Amino acid sequence: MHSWSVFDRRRPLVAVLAVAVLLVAGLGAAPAAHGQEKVLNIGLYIEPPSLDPHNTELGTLIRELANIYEPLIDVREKIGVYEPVLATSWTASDDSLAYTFKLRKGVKFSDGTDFNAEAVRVNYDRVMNIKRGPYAAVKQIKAVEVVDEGTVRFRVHKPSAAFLSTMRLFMMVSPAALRANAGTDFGQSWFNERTAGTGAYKLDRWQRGSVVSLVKNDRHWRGFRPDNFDRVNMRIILEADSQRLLLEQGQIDIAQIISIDALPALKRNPRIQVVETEYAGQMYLLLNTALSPLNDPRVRKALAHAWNHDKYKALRKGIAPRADGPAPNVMLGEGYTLANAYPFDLERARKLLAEAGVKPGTTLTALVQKGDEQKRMLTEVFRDELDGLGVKVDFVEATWPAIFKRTTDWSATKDPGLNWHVVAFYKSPDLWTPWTFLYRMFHTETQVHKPSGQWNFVGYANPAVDNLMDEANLTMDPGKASALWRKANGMIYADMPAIPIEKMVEIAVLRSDIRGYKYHAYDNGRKLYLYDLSRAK
Amino acid sequence: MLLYVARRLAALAFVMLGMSLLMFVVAHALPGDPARVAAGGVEATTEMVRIAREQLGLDRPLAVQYLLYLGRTARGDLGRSVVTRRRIADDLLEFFPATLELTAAAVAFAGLLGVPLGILSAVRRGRLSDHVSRLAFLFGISMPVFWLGLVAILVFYAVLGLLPAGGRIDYLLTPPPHVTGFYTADSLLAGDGQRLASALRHLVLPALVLSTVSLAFIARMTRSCLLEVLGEDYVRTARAKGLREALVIYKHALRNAAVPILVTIGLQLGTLMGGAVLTETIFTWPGIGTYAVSAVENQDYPALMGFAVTFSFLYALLNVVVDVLAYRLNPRVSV
Repeated sequence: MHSWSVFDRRRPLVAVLAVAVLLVAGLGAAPAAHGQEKVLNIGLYIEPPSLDPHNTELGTLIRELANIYEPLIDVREKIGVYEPVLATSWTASDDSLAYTFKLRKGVKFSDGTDFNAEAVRVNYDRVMNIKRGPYAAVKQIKAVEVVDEGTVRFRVHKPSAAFLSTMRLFMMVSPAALRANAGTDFGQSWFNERTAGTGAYKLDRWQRGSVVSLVKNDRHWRGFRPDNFDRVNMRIILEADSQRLLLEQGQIDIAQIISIDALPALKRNPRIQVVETEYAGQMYLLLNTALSPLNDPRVRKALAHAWNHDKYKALRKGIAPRADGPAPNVMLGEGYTLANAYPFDLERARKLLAEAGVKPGTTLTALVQKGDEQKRMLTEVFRDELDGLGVKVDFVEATWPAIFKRTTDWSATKDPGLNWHVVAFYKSPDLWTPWTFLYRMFHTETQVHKPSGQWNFVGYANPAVDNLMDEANLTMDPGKASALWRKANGMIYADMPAIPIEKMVEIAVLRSDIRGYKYHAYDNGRKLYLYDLSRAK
Repeated sequence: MLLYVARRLAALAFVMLGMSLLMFVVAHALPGDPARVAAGGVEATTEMVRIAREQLGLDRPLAVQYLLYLGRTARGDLGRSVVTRRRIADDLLEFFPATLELTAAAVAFAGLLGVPLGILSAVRRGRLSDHVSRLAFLFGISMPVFWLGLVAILVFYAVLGLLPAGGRIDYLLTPPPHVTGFYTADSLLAGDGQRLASALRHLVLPALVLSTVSLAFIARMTRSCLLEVLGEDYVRTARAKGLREALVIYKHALRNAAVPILVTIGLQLGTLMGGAVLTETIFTWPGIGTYAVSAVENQDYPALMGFAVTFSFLYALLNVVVDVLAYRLNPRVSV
């Protein structure tokens, strides 16, 4: 028998380890700020790539940066009506080639610099030099004139009814901060991780991968209510389960990533409020109209009839309102509806396919975006129904940039090696005008491979529709323009280049004591209006 | 010995050059478009993507792009990340040490727990404790780190409230002044007790979870090596001489079994560095794993190459260190 004195010697070591563990657990108790009245903690959906409003993704711009930087005007619920922000009023010339803005008096940037017409001109130059972010919107402006300190005039290249709605993307940075830190890249390195705006909050610090911490901008022109938050910590927590745990513990007040399965339990929790709001973002199943057999409208209509929305809705736990049509109804004026001309009807689909000469065993290629469970789910539902019709759907998985490249290359070269028939696509209401849906997705000029390309992936080219949209874009009266957009909407719907799947529902999960959370149909998902929020006592 | 080390370090340079070329080729073979990511993603128009492509030099021939990259790297400029828009050198300086800290702690746990457990298992071979240990090893190797991490957070954070749910340090504290990039070491150097304690508290759970991967491996390796050595004649002689069992195991058996055990521990560090990404995601640990995955997803070529070159350097360096240690431990090991 061997002795175990080996382990006698271990006992003190074990004791030391145990004490160390207890010490570590007890020490390092952090300054408790969660649940602190004037501090808001948010579990962010995604880390912003950059805090520079002239060089970041437009999603980040609209969601988070809109609390730090401001544009001249923003949008309101009604199409064609705008909210004064840094401009208090504006007029357009008769030929719609010049817009004159009267600027708000007494506005200062967070570094104390005055906001004036010269600041607007400096910002214009910057965007035109960097050519990122809001460039597509800003380049519509041919020249910026400083009329006087409080008045600025934009001269545009050509008249466009959509112009004013694009101005919500053009945000102002402090010209003094820009001048002091321009470097060799127009200040991109500096503005990437620091802020100097007119908004309600400014950056205190950004620990990459951890937290973006904002504090009140004391120079903000609206002033503050007693119940405004002093500090907002936007924490980067990539896991839905972690965000949920932290929310339930009160360590975060708003969770931006929540799995749908967790919702029933969260709804039952009295300390948590779940707010579901439908907004004007739409998900489509795009159909490549330039590739056989989808170049035959009968085939496209057959596919539309094969879309089983009830089955999909059940998979989404009931949270999947059917999309309206090519453009959301709410953008096409009050009282407008589009009747569903393609109810789920497999017999009808079968008939149409037979008419078009599509044989059983035909295979379609579906591009499926990696990491997006929603898009995968809907493509799977689509595939299952088509299976019953004898049409096979092959999946090709890729990241979004890869999908974009493939569809663009195919559009330009028609290389059979890059063939694709179907892809799920989400269009956000980034601009509050039907132009952003109908023109950008279905005009001949916006086919992806063209220099003027935007989001016409499907190669849709209908001259009659083009003319309607061109005319609508030149019609400054919102009512008259609406009539033209509606007509275009109907015609596109009849051609079925894209199956409208669902309208997006923003599901906000907050602690019950957070007040002031409001969502608008024109918002992007997860947009934050930090100024409006407060905590109930 | 010195000559040996010098030769190995010289070879490192070639390894890094080879890695950079390999990664360049692989990165450009990936489907996708970094110009689109740089231009702003989905919202960018075709024209903006074209402009970004020209700005990044992606429209030039591949050979030219590679040579330009080498030239800039020689001047110390690793380029700018398309995703973070920051200098890649800054990204690497921040994210590599984070992962090193995590994996070093994980391997330390794994070694400190694994070696004694392996010894116990070897010495009590065939007994109940051996069977239980081996079952535990199997559990450790088989259980996905992802799941273990979530369970650990549930138990230690949600239920017991003992440890934090993620991050490297309490998010209300600014990190300690950057010297090594290890929050623990830097806090110690700065004499900051609060930050040290917070960094340690945040390190414990992810390191323990990540260590389960290596723990079982190290324990099993220890058990096998020791068993092999315990069967040797000189061990039987030592016991026959009446030496205490502890002396037999530590002075004679383990010393000879040490080299392969040590090599295993050292290489685990390299393996874990590459595979820590799941743990990093669960525990929101902003390390090189998450950074590299993001670089792949976004075709961030400069970041990918910076990552690959640095990683291969560290891995090769680690191998050199392990070899030198092995030689010191057992001079009969030829180098």
